[in-house]
Amino acid sequence: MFFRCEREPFLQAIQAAQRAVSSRTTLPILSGLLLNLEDGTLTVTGTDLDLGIETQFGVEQKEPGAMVLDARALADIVRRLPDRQVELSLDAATHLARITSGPAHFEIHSLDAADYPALPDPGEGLQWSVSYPVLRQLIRFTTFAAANDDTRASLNGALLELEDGEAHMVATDSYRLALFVQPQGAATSVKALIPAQTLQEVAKLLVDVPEAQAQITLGKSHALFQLGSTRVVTRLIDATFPNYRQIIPASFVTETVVDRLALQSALERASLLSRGGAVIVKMEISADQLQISASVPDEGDYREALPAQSTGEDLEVAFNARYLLDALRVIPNAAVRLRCTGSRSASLLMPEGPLAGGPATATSPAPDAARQQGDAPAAPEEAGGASAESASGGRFVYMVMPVMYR
Amino acid sequence: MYSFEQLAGQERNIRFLRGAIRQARWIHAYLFLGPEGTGKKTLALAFAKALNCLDQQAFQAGQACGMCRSCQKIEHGNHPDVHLFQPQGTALRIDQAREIRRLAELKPYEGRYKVFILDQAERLTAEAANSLLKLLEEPPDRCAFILLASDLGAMLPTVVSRCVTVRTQPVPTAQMEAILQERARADGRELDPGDVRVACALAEGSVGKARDLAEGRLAGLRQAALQFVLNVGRWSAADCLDFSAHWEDKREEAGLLIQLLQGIYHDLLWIKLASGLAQGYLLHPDQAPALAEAARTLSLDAILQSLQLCRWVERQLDRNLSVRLALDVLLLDLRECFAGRDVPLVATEYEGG
Ligand SMILES: [Zn+2]
Repeated sequence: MFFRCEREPFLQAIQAAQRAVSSRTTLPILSGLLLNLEDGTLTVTGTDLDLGIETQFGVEQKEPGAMVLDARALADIVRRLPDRQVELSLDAATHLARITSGPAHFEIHSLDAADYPALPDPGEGLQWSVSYPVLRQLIRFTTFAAANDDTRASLNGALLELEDGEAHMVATDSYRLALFVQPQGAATSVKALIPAQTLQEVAKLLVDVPEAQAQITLGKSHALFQLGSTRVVTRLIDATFPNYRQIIPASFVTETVVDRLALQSALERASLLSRGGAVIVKMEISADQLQISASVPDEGDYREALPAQSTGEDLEVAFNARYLLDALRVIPNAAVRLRCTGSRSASLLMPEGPLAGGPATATSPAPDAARQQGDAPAAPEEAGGASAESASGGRFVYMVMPVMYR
Repeated sequence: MYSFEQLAGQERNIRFLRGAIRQARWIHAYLFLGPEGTGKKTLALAFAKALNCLDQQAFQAGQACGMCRSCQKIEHGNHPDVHLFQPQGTALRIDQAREIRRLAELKPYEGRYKVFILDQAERLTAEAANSLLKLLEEPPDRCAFILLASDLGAMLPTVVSRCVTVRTQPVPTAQMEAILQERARADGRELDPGDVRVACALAEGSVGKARDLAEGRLAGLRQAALQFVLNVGRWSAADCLDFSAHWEDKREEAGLLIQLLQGIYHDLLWIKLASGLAQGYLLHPDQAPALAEAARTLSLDAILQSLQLCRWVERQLDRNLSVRLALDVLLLDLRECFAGRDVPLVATEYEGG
């Protein structure tokens, strides 16, 4: 194996594939990246067996071949190479890889490429084409609500549902649930429970190319995301996701509209009472005011009143401040609406009015046949405002369970 | 190589496991039970290879070809369906058990069977063991669990009862010597029969340990120990200290050296007490004439005292006495013994060094 290439695309490919390399792997080969050179194309692959990322780019091929190099070492070396050109070769007899760039010359050990596992083939499955901005939005608005390492497997994923021309993505850790609805689904109906961490890695690979389309294949046990020259293959979670449609409340006893930034800053102030720990905030909702208070034993008390426009009964309800903040940080609108069903049952937090065209909002129309509405022409990005047209027509619903306030 | 062929003295276990593969029965949960170093892990990995061998003919015969991609990956510890779990610190913990449960629910990545090998399974915490009970009782499809343990008493009975027990035995010394020589010859090498004999004696029934000793540091050490005992009568104190300096900071090798010295004095004792005895009783029969010569010049008391000194310094070494100091003391005292002078054992004098 022998090739010459530009350092930058090589480094980018390494860093993309490295996202799938786990530091906790028990198989030595998986701490490496597979470099496979064929027909002038270098394919760089990383995997932890649950998630696999491979990305391709063109190089000046002198001799085809394959090898596995330690991912961390390779990334560190290539990042610091002095020249824009890199030359890499493998000595088949000694298994030493030689990396040369300008005056710098490295020799590092390689592992046998034949030991590297092949990425799974998702097989025949539903194909869905979605624009980068829309996909990023689906991921950004939901995956934060998933559990991280829960023994209930279904809570570690986000459910992607394509149905009736809509795409739903939803995630929950059983204390809160985030749902994003995009009126641009595929024609057929399909469900897939995708690991939330995989989706977050996918989002990081969605570079800012508004016109770009992600091609998603949802197979029986695996999903494939084709993002330009990068492929992400992930295992799907084989578990039943809670029936979220049934648990989202439809009628409310109290609703209040409040300035989003004001609420977010107030909750951030309340959180100062506890370093790292959970802070429970009590909300007293009355006609024109939202009174927020928190009390942490041995730390102190906090109290603040925000102007609000409420309807329905006066209500006292308490939440974990972090759960509200997680959602407030992704909502681009100037105002949010809190809809409560009581002090012991679920509340909804949502943007007031259509979702604003904030930084997270899609701006490109999707060419998919199934789209029905919401493909408004690309709008310039706005800081967000209650009156702003939603560029993508997406809908965000966040359900959060109240807690007991002592 | 992890293969059935490499496992000497386990013919019955191998026949049993091959039968299990051939008949596709009992491929669920096993307990491989036997002393350290009796080949439990090798047997488990050989079994994993046979379960996943890509050579259809070999698989159907309950064997592994050793050449295919699957066999190679297992040999290198790189097979995505063969998982070896070892204690983290002192225990196999609940988060490891959770990972096992998670992996067990998944289909094999590329192999025929997922194989979970739990090394030192007696170190499963009660919580971890309990969380695996259901899995051991009804393993998901295409899953094999192999628990390796040397101490049955430390295992939860509920775990043991869910496994098929396969016992591994220490290999008799004579058989072990033959195995070591055979393997060395297969690799195109010849081992010194004296070294092999001593290695097998020190290995406590473990072929793996004997091989490590015979192919590793034992060779030079045995010669050094023999050289010392046979020549110390002509050595100065400075010679002894020079000799001792070789093992500065090499605690393990120093311990081995002391064991070897003991073995040699033991041979001297046998020659002294049972002269005319067949050489087969000696640990170093290849050195019989030289040992007989040394035995003639030494008194019985000197030999007994030398043995005592070796044991005493060995204990001091276990108590973390500095290696250099321990050997200095031992070698100088042995020299005194050889010269027929009485050496008192004053334990407190050297302690805490
Ligand atoms: Zn094979």
